[in-house]
This record gives sequence, structure tokens and C-alpha cells, in this order.
Amino acid sequence: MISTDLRYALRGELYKLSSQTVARLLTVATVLGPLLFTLLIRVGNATPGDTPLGTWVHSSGFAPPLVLLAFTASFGFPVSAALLAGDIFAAEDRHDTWKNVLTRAVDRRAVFAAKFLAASLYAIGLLALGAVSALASGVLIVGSQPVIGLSGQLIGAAPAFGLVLAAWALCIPPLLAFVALGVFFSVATRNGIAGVFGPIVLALLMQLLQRIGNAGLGHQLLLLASFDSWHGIFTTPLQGLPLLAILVSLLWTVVPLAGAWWLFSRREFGGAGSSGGSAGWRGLTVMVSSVLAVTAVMVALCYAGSDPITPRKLEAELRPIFNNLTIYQQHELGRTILAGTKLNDSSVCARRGYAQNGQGDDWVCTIDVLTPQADTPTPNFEPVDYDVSIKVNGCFSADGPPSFIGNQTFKTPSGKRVYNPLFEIYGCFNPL
Amino acid sequence: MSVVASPALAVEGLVKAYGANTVLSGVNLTVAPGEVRGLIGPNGAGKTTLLRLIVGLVKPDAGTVVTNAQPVAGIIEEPTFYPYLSARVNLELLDLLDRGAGATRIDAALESVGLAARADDRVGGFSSGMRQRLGIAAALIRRPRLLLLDEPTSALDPEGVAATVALVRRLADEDGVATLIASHQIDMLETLVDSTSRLADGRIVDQH
Repeated sequence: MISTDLRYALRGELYKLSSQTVARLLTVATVLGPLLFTLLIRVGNATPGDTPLGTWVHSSGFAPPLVLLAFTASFGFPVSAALLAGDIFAAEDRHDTWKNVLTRAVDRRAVFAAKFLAASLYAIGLLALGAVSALASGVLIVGSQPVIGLSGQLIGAAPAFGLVLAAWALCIPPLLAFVALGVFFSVATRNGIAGVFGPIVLALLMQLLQRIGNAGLGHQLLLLASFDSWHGIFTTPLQGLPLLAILVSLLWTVVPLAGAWWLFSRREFGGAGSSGGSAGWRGLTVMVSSVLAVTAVMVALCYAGSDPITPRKLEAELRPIFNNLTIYQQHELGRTILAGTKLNDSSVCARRGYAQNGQGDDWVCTIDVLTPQADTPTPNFEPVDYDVSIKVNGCFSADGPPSFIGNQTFKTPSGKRVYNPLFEIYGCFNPL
Repeated sequence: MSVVASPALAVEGLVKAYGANTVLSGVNLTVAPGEVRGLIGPNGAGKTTLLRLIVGLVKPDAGTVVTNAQPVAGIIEEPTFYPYLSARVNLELLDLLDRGAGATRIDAALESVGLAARADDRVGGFSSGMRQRLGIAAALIRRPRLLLLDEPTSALDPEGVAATVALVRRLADEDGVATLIASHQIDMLETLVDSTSRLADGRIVDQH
């Protein structure tokens, strides 16, 4: 009977959720936000170069939805999940309606599952709405030109269309995990404010933790890192299905849900501490202690193992990206370079600071770049220094000297002004 | 051979404590089909806890609760609803938790408690008395065989009290609904109940 019970309970939960002002405001923001974002990018001259595909927002309509995705993933998704799920159980405590809900025909299992599913479905619906709105805004306002991937490769309009949607879809597993965290805090604290702030505080802490420690497996176990798994489908060779990110998301979903169910199934609805001021303090205490416990585990994970971002790794990753972008630049200039041509000889990367490995903005990579010489038959390689900033997720930006690579934009033979792909190189690789 | 009808509700040896505070210490109680039993006792005697135990919101430390009459519906303490939704939607949501069994009874239930004209108003704007009447409507849409009422008339005006008494009496007499009604309003109970149990110090001390 669980399926019938669940169906009825889910209908009720979805109705309650969609009747709430916060859910309606989220829906409006999800539809209009991408449109406004793309319009502002189009009107302004800003280029978010420190974001994946940010340098291409004026060149291809497929870039703005991914820039937006990168921004949304770090804060927007956790906040929307927290707003939808953090109050879904606590609201029954606030309105004192558990005695209505739990004395009807459907049992606690169905009520629990319906609440989690309702918040999850609403969150996924918002994500889908955001993806469609962002993609439509990008294509309609900027255009459906090919886009440059995170390995510097050219991606045609048709595959880019599918990849953008796939990138948003890959954020569903970690989004559901944040919903599960919201459910846990909602059940454990019985307080809507603590239920909403619990997942948000955890997301902020994860952002902070992404700036410390090494880039090993520990960082990949931070839930926020799973939102970056779409980078893998914009690199070449294709990194395949991000199984680790999905497994991490699953872990972050199952553990809070199991904890929430353990508490909910044993809860008595009546008697001391079930409501009133004591519930507020209880909620705050539970939220703070849970966050502290999870943070302690995360900090330990961030320092576990050795750092996989080494000079050798960066050198190996930077060279083909530079090669791809140079071919694209020459193509834009009307010159033809045969595919597979080796345009740089070697690269040497090192950090200026104390550390030798890991994330940071003090990397310098020297690339021996092939420069055409009309009067000599032998190839001439010139060393070019790039200032590289690399993050824990394996994404880096590299700024070259304008004296060698030219200005931010240049004119094509047809007179069209385009972005210089070598002005600021942005790429991503799997740090593991 | 005599045939004895099963009681609609049978409570036996019920014990419940919150920490060191023992609220119920061996409560025995039965309600027969069609019987309206009053439950009286001073504040803190454990009347509401007993009702919560009967509907399963609280688990007993010892003893058993057998509800042969199904479904069970009622009002536990002050009726509460989602204030941002209308009276009708609140009832529809509750009915979904009964698998939609009472969808066709919602209008009639609202009519029977005198809230038909306010059915589409948000409950947040309702008075205590209106919420109490809505609570009775919420119980009625289940078409209960066992009705549990916790101070159902405390916020009602005299007309509301009379209407509620008439409604409960009619359900018992015509439909055989068993009712356990906890109240401090002795006058109201005297006009309504068939029997009374007095709860004090966690036990039923008087039953007639």
C-alpha cells in the first residue's frame, strides 16, 4: 500500500510547497534570473574570465548558461534546496499540525517519503526550468555559435546544446543531497530557520574548505565539489560519467536521510520539549553540533593524502590546451593549420611561493611556442611566461604577456571583432 | 450462548511517563459502539495524553490500546491548520492523507459546522471558535466509527455548543459512532454523555 499512500501524500506535499511564497519567488527568480543575467552580460563589457567558459560569453550563447551554472552551483542550488526542504518538516511543528497529518490513513513512512520527494521534485523542476531559461536566453540573446571547451577544443552548436543540458542535469545528484541535508536539519531541529540555515552554513563551510588543504580525494568528498562534475564532459578526451561525484552525492543523500528517518520514526508527538521555546534552543543546539561534527570530518578529509596538482601534471595539461587554442586563433585569423600540428615544444611550471604543489595563484608556466619564421626552414620556439592561477577542482586560468599574445580582442579578415583565445586561457582537468 | 459486542475502544493498563513525571499509571477504559463517554479530570490529569496515546501520536510505556472501530478521528487539543490555506483546501489536504476517501463529504462537513460560507477564506483569519468547528468538520470527513474530542466546545458560543452536542448525539444514535469526549464543561457533558470516567493522578478513579 506504500505506493498508493505515497501518491496521495505526495500530492498534498507538492500542493503545500507550491502554495508557499518562498517557492513561488524561487520559481520566478529561476525563470527571470538567467534572462537578466544574459542581458546584463550582453549589454555590459564584463568577461567573467575566472569562471569556466567565462571568456566566451560574448562569442557563444552556450557559454552564459554554463557560467550561470558555475555561479548557481556554489550558492544558488544549496540555498534553493535549503529553502524548499529546510522547513518542510519543521513547518508542521510551527503550525502544530503533526497531530492532523499522523492520525490519518497514510503512515509515517509515506509522510516522510512524500516530504523528501516533494522537495526533491520541486528542486529538480526548478533546476530544469533554470536550464531551459538559461539556454534559451543564451541562444536567443548571444547566438548559437560553437563554443570553446575546457580543453580548448571547438564544440559545434548541436553537441554544445546537448552538453549544456547534460551539464545542468549532472547537478541533480548533489542538489538532491542538499535537499536531504535540509530534510535532516528540518527533522532534527524542528525549527524552520535552523532547518534552512543548516545546509547553507555547510555549503559556506565547504566553500571555505575548498581553499585549504590539498586537492586529493578528500576534497572530492566535499559535496560542493560534485557540482563541478560537469567539467568532465567539456574536456577532451571526454572524462566519462562522473561516477565519483555521483557516489559522493549518494553518500551525502543517504546518510542525512537515514539520520532524519531514525529521528522521525522514533519521535513522539506530545509531551515535554515538543514545541515552544525549548524547541528553538534545541533546534539551534542540534544545528550547531551537527555542523561542527560534519566540519571536523571535512577538515580532516581536506588534509588527507598528497596533493595531486604537481608541476608535471600542470605542464602536461596546459600544453594541449594551448595547442588547441592556438589552432583556433589562427583559424579565426584566416590561417589554416593542419590538425595535429604541434605548436609548442614544452612547458615548465613552478610556483613562486613556498609550496611546490597544489592550488594557488602563484604558478608560472613557461611554454616554448612555435613562432613562424619566413626566412628560416627550421622551427623557432620562443619561451612565453604565463601567470597561472589554479583551483582545487583542477580548473585554471593562465594570463599571457600582451606583448606576445596581443590584445583581448582582434579583428578577423572579415572585419568581425572576436575574443583572442590566447589572451586568457581557461581550462580544467581532473586533479586526481 | 450470549454474544457480547466488542468495545469500539478498549484501553488496558496504560502507563506513560515523561522522564520522572508519570502522567498515566495504569488506565483502563472502554467505549462501546454508539456510546458517548465523557472524560473529566483536573488540568494535568492526563486526559490529552490519553487521547494522544489512543491515536498513536505517543507510544505507551506499558499497556494496550485496541481500537475495534475504524476509522478513528478527532480533535486533540486546539484544532490547528495551515493558516495560509483556505478551510476547504485544508480539508482537501487532510482527505488526501485518507487516500481521497472523503472528497465528496467536504462540502457537507463544512455545511454541518456552519462554515460553508467561509470555506474559501484563509484559516489564518479564523477565530478560535471557527477553527474548532473546522476541526469537527475535519473529523467528520473521515466518517469515523470512533470519535475522540478534546475540549471540542471550549471556544464555541452557546449556539455552537448546542449544535455540537446535537451533532455528536446524532452520530452516536443514528450511526452508532463511539465517542470519548474530554471536557471541563460539566453542564455540556451532562446533556450529552451516556457515561463518565474521572481521571485523577494518572488513574481512572470513578466510572459510571
